[in-house]
Amino acid sequence: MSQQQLQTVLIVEDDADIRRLVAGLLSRENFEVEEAEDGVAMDAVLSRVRPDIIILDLMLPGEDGLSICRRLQGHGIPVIMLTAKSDEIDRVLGLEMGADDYVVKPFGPRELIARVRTVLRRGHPPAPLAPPSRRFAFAGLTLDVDARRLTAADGASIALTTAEFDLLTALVEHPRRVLSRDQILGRIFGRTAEPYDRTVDVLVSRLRKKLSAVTPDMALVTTVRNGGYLFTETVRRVP
Amino acid sequence: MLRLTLATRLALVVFVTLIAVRLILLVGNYAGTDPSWSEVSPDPADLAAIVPILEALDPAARRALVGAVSRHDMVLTLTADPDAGDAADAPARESDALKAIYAQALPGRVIVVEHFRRRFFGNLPYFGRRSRLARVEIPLKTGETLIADGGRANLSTQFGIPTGLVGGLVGTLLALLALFLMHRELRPLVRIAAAADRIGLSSEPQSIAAPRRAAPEIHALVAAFNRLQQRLVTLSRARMAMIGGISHDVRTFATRLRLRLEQLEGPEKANAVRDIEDMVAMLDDALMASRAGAGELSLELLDLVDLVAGEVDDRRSLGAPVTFAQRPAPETALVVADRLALRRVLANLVDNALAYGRSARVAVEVVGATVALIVDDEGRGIPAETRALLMEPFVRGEASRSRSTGGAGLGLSIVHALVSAHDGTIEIEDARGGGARFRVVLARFDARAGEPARKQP
Repeated sequence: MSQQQLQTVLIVEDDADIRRLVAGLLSRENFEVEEAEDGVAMDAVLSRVRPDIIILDLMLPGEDGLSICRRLQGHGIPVIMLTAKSDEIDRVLGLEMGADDYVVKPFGPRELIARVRTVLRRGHPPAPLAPPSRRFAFAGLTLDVDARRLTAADGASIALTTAEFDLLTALVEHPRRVLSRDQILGRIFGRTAEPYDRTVDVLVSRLRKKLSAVTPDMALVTTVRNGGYLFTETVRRVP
Repeated sequence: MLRLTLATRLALVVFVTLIAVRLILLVGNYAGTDPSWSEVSPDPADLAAIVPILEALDPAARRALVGAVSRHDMVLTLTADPDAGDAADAPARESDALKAIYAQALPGRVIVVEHFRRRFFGNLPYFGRRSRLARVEIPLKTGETLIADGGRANLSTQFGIPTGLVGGLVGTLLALLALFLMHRELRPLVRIAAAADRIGLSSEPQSIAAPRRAAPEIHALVAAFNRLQQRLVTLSRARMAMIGGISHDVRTFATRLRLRLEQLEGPEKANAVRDIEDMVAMLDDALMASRAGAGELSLELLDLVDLVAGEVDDRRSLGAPVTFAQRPAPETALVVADRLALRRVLANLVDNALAYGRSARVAVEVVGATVALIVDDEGRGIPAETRALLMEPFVRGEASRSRSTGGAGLGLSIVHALVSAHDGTIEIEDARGGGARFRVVLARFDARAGEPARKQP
């Protein structure tokens, strides 16, 4: 292999002008460029060439950018997502799906080049050996999601029903975020609220009673006006 | 009168009507059914007729007749001792007028007449006039004395209860039953009002169900309400989708522009880049304000101090004259809010302060159950007349829309929309030193209370 081997960038973007402009920009920076307008074209390129990095647009016709990102995980090629949404959640989601970085449109050319170089320098981090632990510590209590156990500071186990445990897990996995009744119902029972559905309210009230027995001076679960619940304490992951 | 519910009003109407009908019938009853009314009681003519007959009968027949003829308005007693029984009676007095009346009917007899009153139910008026009651003592030729006590025919049932009382009670019970039934019929209306308050434009419409046996009008209203909710949600989503779509498309064009700009050179290039950024930011603001207006905020429990510190640090790292002058202790300025929205609010206020007032001085204050975010500048301040106007879209403190002062004036109206969506308020005041001060007030989160503390009105 020659020392001056150019690195190959595959750009997957449906807008032809942007694709062309970025390709031109990358070539001027001494990259080899492959282009694809959607998931199908991308697969065709991948069967031919192995790029060093993929720039992937979030909004693509046909197969969605996020889903493509997810299935690229196994390939070991770093991915930079291009997103037009300023919504943080989409960015975070993209990163959780295995993207290495993101760039928001409209982006400055220098910004894009800088990110590409950074990611290439960093290399693609190996897949984590084990999934992150599902044990959480808060307010002197420990919640072990896999073992389905809630323990107090003194080691005593606190009995919770299945539904109460699922509710606590949902709240603890999103600490300090307001979850609506629909979100909670979807998480625990996989359905949305019917009119006058008081299932969540009743469940929260029971959970509160059990928690306040162990942490009497703290209100761990608060009701937010207009139907949402909030876990008030900060939560730490525990190995 | 306004506070009475519909059901209560209807029930009162029925109740009052029942009572009125009852009273009319009662009056008619009393007025028309007493043929025996006379000026004085006992009737002198009756006495005049009975006395000779009694004197003509033998003792046994005499007693029998007295028993048979005695009635409510003429109680007859035959006694050998005229003075017995006097003490038990109601107060009485001699009356010459009455004596004259009876003397006329029973001439030639020695009569003792006493005039006394009885309780109300013993002497009901007839068309407003009351009988005069008397006790007449007539010595008979047989040596006994006939005592006749006057009275009025009571209109009472066999149990001694005045007629109409039971009817009135039954009417009352019926009215109460009607009240109860009407409450049940009208309950869907109460539910509709409650459901209307609960409409969250972002979530699924909460349709309500009318009870199967409810009146057709109620069914129609409930169905119309459910359709309206659905329309509102659809409208809201359509609007957000449209703005989101526009925002996305504009970003695509903006990306192309930005990439093409790179190949140009010159003094205008930096301005062009900034224009693109401003344009995209403005669309972001509009989208966020639209989502906030529809309640589509993603709420978190935030420490305002952390949020402000982060933003101020970002600005200072770019060299802007922004300071975080006053901050309370960590974990005291907690609010439940949308992180991006609050950052937007702060960014807009700081942008304004820098553009119009040369510098931005930010402070966070905890006052009772509220948290205040305060941004001061060093400009010329904002005159009181313009303050209200500033919150309208596209109004700026000065009339021109010159490029150098940036933006089309959407900033403050976005801030207002976002703050309102959090049930907060924003006020424009004077900063110490002459500049303008913007104060955003939000409800403080209090875990102990179980709910976010309500903001003072």
